[in-house]
Amino acid sequence: MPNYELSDEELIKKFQGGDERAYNQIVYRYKDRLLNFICRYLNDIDRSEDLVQDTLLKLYTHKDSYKEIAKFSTWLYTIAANFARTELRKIKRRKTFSVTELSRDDREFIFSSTDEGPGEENLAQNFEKNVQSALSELPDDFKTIIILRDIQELSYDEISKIVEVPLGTVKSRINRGRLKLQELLKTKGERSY
Amino acid sequence: MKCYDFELNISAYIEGELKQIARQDLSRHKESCKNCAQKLVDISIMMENLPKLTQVTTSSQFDQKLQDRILEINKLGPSVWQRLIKIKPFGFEPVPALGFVSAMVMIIGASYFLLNQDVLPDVDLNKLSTQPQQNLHQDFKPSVVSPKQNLPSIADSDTSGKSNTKHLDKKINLVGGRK
Repeated sequence: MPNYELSDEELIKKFQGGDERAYNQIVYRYKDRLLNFICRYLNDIDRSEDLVQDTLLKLYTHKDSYKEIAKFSTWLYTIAANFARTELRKIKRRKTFSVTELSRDDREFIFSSTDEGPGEENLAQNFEKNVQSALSELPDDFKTIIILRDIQELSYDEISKIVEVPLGTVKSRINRGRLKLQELLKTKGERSY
Repeated sequence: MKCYDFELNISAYIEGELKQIARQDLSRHKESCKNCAQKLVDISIMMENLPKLTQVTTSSQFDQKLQDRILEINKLGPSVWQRLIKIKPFGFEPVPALGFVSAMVMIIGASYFLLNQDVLPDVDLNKLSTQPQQNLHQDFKPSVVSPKQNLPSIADSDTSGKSNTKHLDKKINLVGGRK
């Protein structure tokens, strides 16, 4: 039974003291949140789940690296964001290689849309798909911030610490990111939500 | 206000982070520009819908997989680095202690270098101590230089003043040439 009375910071303190149950509590609290963040970033659920595991393992092995000067969630998201960024770079490198190796027909198959057309029932599903596709086209800096702010609903201050850029930069990036995302959604025919 | 300025502040406008004057400026622009008004609506709706996207959940094997990986790590034990990090010399944290030690080494090294910068003459101390005092006096021959022998006297110098006058003439000519 999860104990919601204790704060994240109290739990990590307990875990640092050797309480393994506190670690399980943290895992319970964060596994889905982290999965959603990484999955939006990578658009691959299996790989994202592996990265969530890596993040939680790093928490297990480097528990003493956490100092109470920062919020625990910020620290954990920073680890996850670093893993996600590294993985995305690897994927991009692999993709560049494999796409150049493919024939023209294969390439068209990968990049062509498989949508059946926006019917009323599929509206929500299409929005989901279009958002995911638009997100993958966004530059990485904008994408991370948009996911953290508009999907994960973190505060600007937390985001600033996670991505390690000043608050003003976060705000201007989120504004430009939203404008860009909106433009991309428009090009994908997403007007009514 | 231009459309560019409106776009720059669109998020702050939606999130209510603008001061009243700026807010009024944006509202005025929104009423006069259809494109910007539409953009504002689109972005507001998008922001409203993004948190409602389907939330994915971890698979049923997630916890088991994680536990297995943790067991594996526990079997291996802490790495060399982790063991090193845990060492606390004289009760200090390892990283600040290492920083302190390297700073001390640098300070000592720098001061040694600075103090020994002047090159001292090569003096054989053993020779000096064994040499009798008298010999030292004998060896020492001060060279007295008489001004008559070695230094050019004023009388020897060219007093004809020919070269000097030539020089002067040239200068005078030059000045005169400008006239």
